[in-house]
Amino acid sequence: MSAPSSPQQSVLHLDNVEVTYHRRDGAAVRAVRGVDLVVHAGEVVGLVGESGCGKSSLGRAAVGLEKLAAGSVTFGGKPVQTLGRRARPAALRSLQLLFQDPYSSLNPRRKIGHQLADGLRASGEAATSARIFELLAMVAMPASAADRYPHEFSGGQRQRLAIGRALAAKPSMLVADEPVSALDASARAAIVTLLGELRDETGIGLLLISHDLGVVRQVAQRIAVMYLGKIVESGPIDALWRDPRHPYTKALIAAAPVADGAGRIPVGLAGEVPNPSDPPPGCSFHPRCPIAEAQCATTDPPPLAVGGDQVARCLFALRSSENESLHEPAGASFPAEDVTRSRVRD
Amino acid sequence: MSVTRSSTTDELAADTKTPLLEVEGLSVTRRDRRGRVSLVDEVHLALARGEVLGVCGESGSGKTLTSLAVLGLLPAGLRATGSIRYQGEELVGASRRRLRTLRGREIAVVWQDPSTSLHPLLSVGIQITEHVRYHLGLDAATAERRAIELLDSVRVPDPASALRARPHEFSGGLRQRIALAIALACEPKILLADEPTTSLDLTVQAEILHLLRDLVDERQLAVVLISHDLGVVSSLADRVQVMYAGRIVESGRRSQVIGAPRHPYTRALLAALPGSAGAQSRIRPIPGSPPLPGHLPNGCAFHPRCAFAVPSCGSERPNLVSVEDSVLLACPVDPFLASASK
Repeated sequence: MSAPSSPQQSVLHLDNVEVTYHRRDGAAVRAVRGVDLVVHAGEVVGLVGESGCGKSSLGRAAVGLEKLAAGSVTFGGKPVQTLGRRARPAALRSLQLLFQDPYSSLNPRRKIGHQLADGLRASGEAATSARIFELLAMVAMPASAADRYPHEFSGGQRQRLAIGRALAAKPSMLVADEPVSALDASARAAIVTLLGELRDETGIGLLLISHDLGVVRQVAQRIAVMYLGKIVESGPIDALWRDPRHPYTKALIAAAPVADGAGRIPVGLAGEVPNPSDPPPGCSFHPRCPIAEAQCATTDPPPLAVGGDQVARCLFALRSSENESLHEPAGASFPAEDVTRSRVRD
Repeated sequence: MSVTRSSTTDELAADTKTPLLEVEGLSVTRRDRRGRVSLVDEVHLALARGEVLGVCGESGSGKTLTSLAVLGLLPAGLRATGSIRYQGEELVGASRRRLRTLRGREIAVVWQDPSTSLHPLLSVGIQITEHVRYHLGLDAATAERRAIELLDSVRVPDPASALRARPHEFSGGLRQRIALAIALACEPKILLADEPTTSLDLTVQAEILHLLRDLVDERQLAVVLISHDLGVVSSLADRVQVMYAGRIVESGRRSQVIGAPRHPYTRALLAALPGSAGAQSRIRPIPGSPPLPGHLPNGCAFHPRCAFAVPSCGSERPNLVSVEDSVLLACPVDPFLASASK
């Protein structure tokens, strides 16, 4: 694998990005509302949130598949623009997108080897069998896979092949949109481990988009938690995992089931992500927030630095966490009464 | 609280009274150029009222085919043999007419993806009332009242207006609640839930699991919960069966199978899950892939991927045997005992 370009060149930089969709009735849906995010080469940044929070729109904007309503995206200092049917500028080829569903992102009627060769040729490289076998080896697939069709593989293997095809362009930055959510638990572990190894071995940068913080945590150094188009908390993974300050981050952590045989159901989060065409006033999370107070309905919380590089958009982010022991990550071990209480709001 | 509850359920299951559902020696085969290929092999299960049985395994382990066989809905070309008894009545070889009466009325099902199990063009109201009118013979007005009750019972907000909406107007979590309302419409005794939360956000998954728990407790509903995620199974199931390559490799109480797993495959599945909140453990993927039907390795089907395999694992297929009160295990190596004796 070629060495990635110098670190400074391969930084993905999102500055105050806005993505707005227009519905047929004219209403504007602000899917992404002013996001700043930086991903360096050799770094894995996790972008986490529920369906409808705008994380996929942000991922698409990051690679130039979505037109920006405001703000800018640059990669290696050059603007990432949306494209028509023209070829992608050579400078942007090292920025690649990996999709959720390998069933639909691979061509079912072409052999794997041919699809990898397409990727090599598109980046101006000769498609030799040696290079194809090298790509397959990078994603831990046998050379014999080149001669087979996508349907002959399991979901996890197909996602490996899709990663192999993205690697054909020698990317220095990969944006992966829910690459494991269509897979079962063991295939999920294998793909996440593979992505971490690729980062270690090739120095590639990765923006890993997922709804599952527990999975992202395995490989990411930094996490950004998104809710209704905004980053509500971000920081180094260890700080965020041990001491989350935004109630939404706490809820995401507490919602993961724990396989300990104790029969406890994790704490859910009642309600739904609000309609982005009509966001609630004040803090967008306040209608679902377990610690919301009157001022949350009127004040949009500014980003508060809570120590280290951790930043949370919550009016109470600086409160000591003991007061809120109820919402600690250990939430999964609530006694049954507390679980019931957290459900009453449903 | 849940601990005491589940132990009483276990006692019920162990009781001499006839279980609601009893599957014995169920095999599902497909005809192939070389003869019959086994997809599900000698599966046993028993389910009592108010009990949740978790069935866990990777994609392709035969979890879904087992539930399709119970419903009499196996795809053309697949054949079920063995015995499936619902309240003592044999379902293998039962008439299509009889199975149709049982399906929905006595044994209901919720699938993984609510966007494909609901009809996209029909209102939610039509999809619920059709069901109760067919099975229970209710008139239109009664059926509508029943539909509102049902949506309310699965906590769909504003049920009366939800009846007039179409599935695409709801989020994934609400669609799964609606699918549950349809499944529960005729007050079935058994619910087969096949990956009911897999396509949902974790926050929504937790809400659906709480809802299922309440339904089990309030209605004494018996649930077969099929999932690839032992975390989900651990939240809800009283007893757990782990399947690999069409066979059960370990079964027992939840606290035994998940709390103190013995089969290397169960242990590998657990190691592949992200740890609990705050924990620093790293996930460990299971090496290799599950074998394809018709290409099973000799001996134990898991041995090529197994960290504990010994030479005899490649030649002798282990039987499922009782190793401890209510635990069945198909592994002669039994790493749990091996590590305990060190």
